[in-house]
Amino acid sequence: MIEELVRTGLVRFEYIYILNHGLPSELGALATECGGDQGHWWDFHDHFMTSWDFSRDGAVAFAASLSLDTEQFAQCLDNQTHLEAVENQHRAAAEAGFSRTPTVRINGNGGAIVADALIEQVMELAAQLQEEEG
Amino acid sequence: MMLKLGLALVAVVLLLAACSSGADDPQPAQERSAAATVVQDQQEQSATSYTAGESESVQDDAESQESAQAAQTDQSEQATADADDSAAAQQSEAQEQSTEASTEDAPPAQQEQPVEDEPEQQAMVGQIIESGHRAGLLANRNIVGDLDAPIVITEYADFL
Repeated sequence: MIEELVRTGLVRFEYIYILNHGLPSELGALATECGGDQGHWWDFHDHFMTSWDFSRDGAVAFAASLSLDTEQFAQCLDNQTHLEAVENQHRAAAEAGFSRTPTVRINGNGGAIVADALIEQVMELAAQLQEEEG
Repeated sequence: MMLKLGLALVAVVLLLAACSSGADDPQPAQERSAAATVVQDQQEQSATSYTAGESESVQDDAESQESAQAAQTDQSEQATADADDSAAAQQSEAQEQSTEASTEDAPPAQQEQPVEDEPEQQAMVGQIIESGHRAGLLANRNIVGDLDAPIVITEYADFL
């Protein structure tokens, strides 16, 4: 449903890494970034949200299933190419007080975690914005 | 005779002064004209003072005037040539400065850089997701959707 709101142009969705579980969290974030290098960030996001395999080999196998350049992917993962960017996201979020997961914000204000409630909030905000513009 | 020499000397000095100041002055022609007028006035005054009963003196004065005028002409030509040289030098210097300034402001490598980077920048703005339930949406890594969207949902989460 969020995707449908995004599709209307009304909503932009952003995901920020929180690394509360050490190396598995880090590997998931790094693998997702390396997948993003080849245009598949959201595939890895969805994969790690539903799969609990946070191993290097598992990430490379998933890259292969997407027909990515596995050599490039493995090199990116092994070199921790995006480690600084990932850690910066986590650090900035923690400094802003958003280290509890999940935390949702709508235009900088508190957002609901439950999807239906979140959608309701978005629709209310959209109506409010339309009134302000009208 | 001494008076004539004195007058000629005064005329030359005034002409030299006019020429030297004209090189720095933006209106050297006016300066030279004013100096020539001063010299001519002085010569006329001298001639008037010494004309009575002294035709030889008047003739000598006339010769002195011719000499002074010749000197003035030479000085004027030299001043004009100097002014032309100065103007040419200034123009050349200005062109050099302009060239240097344009070189400093926009090095060729930096001018070409944005053109070469344009495709990369466009690619970084986002790409269309080709499959899954987000198919057709514009995404740039962790951001999906229109960058100008009025509502931004941010999720802070851990995959675990």
